[in-house]
Amino acid sequence: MTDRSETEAFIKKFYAARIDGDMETLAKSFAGDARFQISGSPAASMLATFIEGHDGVMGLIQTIVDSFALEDFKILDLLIDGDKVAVRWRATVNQVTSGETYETELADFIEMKDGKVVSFTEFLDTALAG
Amino acid sequence: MTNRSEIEALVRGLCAARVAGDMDTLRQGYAGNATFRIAGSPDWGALTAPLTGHDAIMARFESNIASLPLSDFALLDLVVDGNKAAVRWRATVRGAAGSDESATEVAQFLEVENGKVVSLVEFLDTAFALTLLDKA
Repeated sequence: MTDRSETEAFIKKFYAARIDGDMETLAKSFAGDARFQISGSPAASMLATFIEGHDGVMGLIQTIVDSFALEDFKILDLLIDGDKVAVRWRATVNQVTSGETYETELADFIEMKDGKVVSFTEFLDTALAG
Repeated sequence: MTNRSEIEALVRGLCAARVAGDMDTLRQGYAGNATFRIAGSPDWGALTAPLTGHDAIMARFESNIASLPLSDFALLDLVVDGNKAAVRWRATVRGAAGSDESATEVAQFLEVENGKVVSLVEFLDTAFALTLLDKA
């Protein structure tokens, strides 16, 4: 069990690492058996995916960090309920390969155990992100 | 102020009402000045256009219930913190034409005052939703 202030500090550090592309901090944040999901239908969105295990999760996050640079990041809602966290956030996304830039809003549902992320589910605008 | 168990009961009740098409419960669950929007680009037109006020939101819910029936509902996550709640659920949704039946996940961020929802922001698979709307 992690207390609320520890969880809040962890989450803020986690998103700062995502913005900075700090893969070392991100790698330390996920448990060995972590699951990562981008919610959506694979038939409708290329980004919809589910991955299990630290190596797979980190491979996906590296791709995300390399492909989508974030600016003007802002947390709009941060809900902490025991080991579960829900985050609603907004950022300007720069799609590195296309150069396209847009403002968008995302939601993450995070489950923690022993100070690490064991489950991460992300909701994004699948029609916008491709 | 609404306590945790009341918020949890409210959220579970509203989810059940959406699945059952129970408009009475939905009407009672929202404040007169409530706001509702689906997070997404304004380019998606009516899908992501923000709604303000009880009448506008209920009209949208009524339309969704009629055109996008849900089955096999499962609540996957419920996070409650103060007067806010976030819920993640999965259901099978069927397009109006009866085709395109597919399991989909939805996330909702709600703010509650005096036992009623004053703000709802919903996240869904916009690519899939636009496909359904195109065929409606």
